[in-house]
This record gives sequence, C-alpha cells and structure tokens, in this order.
Amino acid sequence: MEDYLIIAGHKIHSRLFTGSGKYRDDSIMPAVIEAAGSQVVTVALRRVDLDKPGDNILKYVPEGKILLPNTSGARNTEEAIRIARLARSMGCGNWIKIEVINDQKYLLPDNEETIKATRQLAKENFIVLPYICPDLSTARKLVDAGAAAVMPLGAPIGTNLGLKTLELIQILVSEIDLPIIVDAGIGRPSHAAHAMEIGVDAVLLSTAIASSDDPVKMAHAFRLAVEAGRDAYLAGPGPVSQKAKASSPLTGFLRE
Amino acid sequence: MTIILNGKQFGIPDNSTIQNLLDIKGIEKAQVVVELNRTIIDRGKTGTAELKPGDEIEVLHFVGGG
Repeated sequence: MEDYLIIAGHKIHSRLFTGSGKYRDDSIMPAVIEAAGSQVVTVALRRVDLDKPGDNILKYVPEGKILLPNTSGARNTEEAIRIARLARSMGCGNWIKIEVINDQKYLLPDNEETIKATRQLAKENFIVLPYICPDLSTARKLVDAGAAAVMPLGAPIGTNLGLKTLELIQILVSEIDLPIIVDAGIGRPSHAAHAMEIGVDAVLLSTAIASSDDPVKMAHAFRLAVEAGRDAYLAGPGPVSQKAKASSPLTGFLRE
Repeated sequence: MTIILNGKQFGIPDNSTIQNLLDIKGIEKAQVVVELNRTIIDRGKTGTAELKPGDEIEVLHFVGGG
C-alpha cells in the first residue's frame, strides 16, 4: 500500500523534512538531502552581506524539492507576515513555516502571535505550517485559522534533547485533524522513530543531522528511523502488559 | 545621494534605480528579493524603481535555516 502524507493537496512521500542550517560546509547538503530522502527542505531569509555576498543556498538544494522558508527572526505577527511575503517573492513557492520567537533563552515560540500570522497568511493563499509549543487549544485555533499542518516542538530548537513534550504531542495527534509534524528538539533517530510510532505524520530536523560527525550517514539513519516508526504505527503495536506472557508453548520440554 | 541599504548608509548617484544599485553591488536580481521603504519590488520593476535620498532598501536572500 502506498503511504504518503498530504499537505494542502501535495503528496509528500518522505516524512522526514530537513533543514539547511548549521552545516560546517554547505556543499555537503545535496548528499545529506539525498540520504534523508527528504522532499521538503527549510531555508531562512536574511539580508545579503553586500560586502561579501556568499554562496546561494539554493544551489545546494536538489531540483524538485519543496522549499519551506521559515520566518525566523520574527518577534511578532507583523514581522512574520513581512518575512513570509518577502520569502514568497523569491519565487520558490508559497509554503511558509511560521516561527515567531521573542524568548531568546529557550527560543520558544509565541503561540498567540503565531495564530494571528497564520490567519492572515492563509488568507493570502500561503501554505502555512506554524511552529508552536504543543498546546491543544492553540492547535484548534490554527485549524480554524487555515493552517496546512501543525508543527509542535519536541524540545527547544537545537538542543537534541528529544521528545520532552511527548504527552502533549500525543494529544494533538489524537485530536487535531491536520498533519502533525514534530519540529525541533529531535536529536537521535530513536527520538524520530518514537515520534512516528505514536502517529506523528512527519518530523523536521536540522541540528540533529548537521551537528553530527557524519551528516550524510546520520541523515540515512534518520530516514530508516522515520520509516521504521511509521511502519510500526501502521502495523499497530501490540498491547503492553506488566506480567510476562510466554512466547513459546507453556508445556514443559519433554513433559506435560 | 545617500540611501539606507540593509541598515547602513550608502552613497549612490542621483536618479539611480534599484537595478543600478544591484549592478553596483554585483547582485543578480533572480537571487534576491528587494524591499523599498517596506514595499516589495517586483523583479520586473527593478529597472524603473527610482531611488530617492533617504530611501530604505533591504536586499535579502535565502540562507540555511531550520
């Protein structure tokens, strides 16, 4: 059976979205993206350094990928909307990851501002993927606001801490009728597999791959983990029991 | 005249256009998005968008990000 994710009508075959930041050398990115099998790749928008224009990051993103610009740097709704419009004017599609952050210690998103930005940008026909602290009422408001998916954090950005918000994400999976994509905090393939096992629709990673010693190998490890977790979810894990249940016949060997 | 380019003062000949500015800086317009006084300038209009003293220009592009 073909298994894919649909976001705003787009069929997404890879449930592993990858970031494009923090690589020691950007030229490794095509190999990383290929090893990850990702169809969706995030980027950020910043001022050009006019004294030293660097490489164009897009040259490292293979053809045919969906580009997901983020609104990083935005501290409120207005700035997120401004960045989103600028990003769309780059001519690489209308997907946008809303990221509104005004806490510099933990980089936790401002859910209220994110909802407002989502509402406005959805009206402007963006495909809006908001990054949030996992919270059911926020997620419900995002559904009403026209979000295409909801992206709860597993732990603060760049920490590699794993699924610290697991129980709250599980509530979103069970209650929200939109794709749930865990974004931020996932640090190990086991974290990604765990997220997929509980029914999350996809995961977005950046630091976990970029900060590893061998990003290409780690990207492949995450791909396997995401696929394994997804298959486990689809297979339906068996029940958990506190008492042992023999896997072999309980009759004794060579006796009754 | 002086304009504000990416947050810094920048001297440029009078009556320059956004395209003149990009040419001076050696930037391909296909790789950037330009904002003039908070209004996005369509790539097809960089050659006709004239600059005035004190204009605030932002020239942005995609970079790596998560």
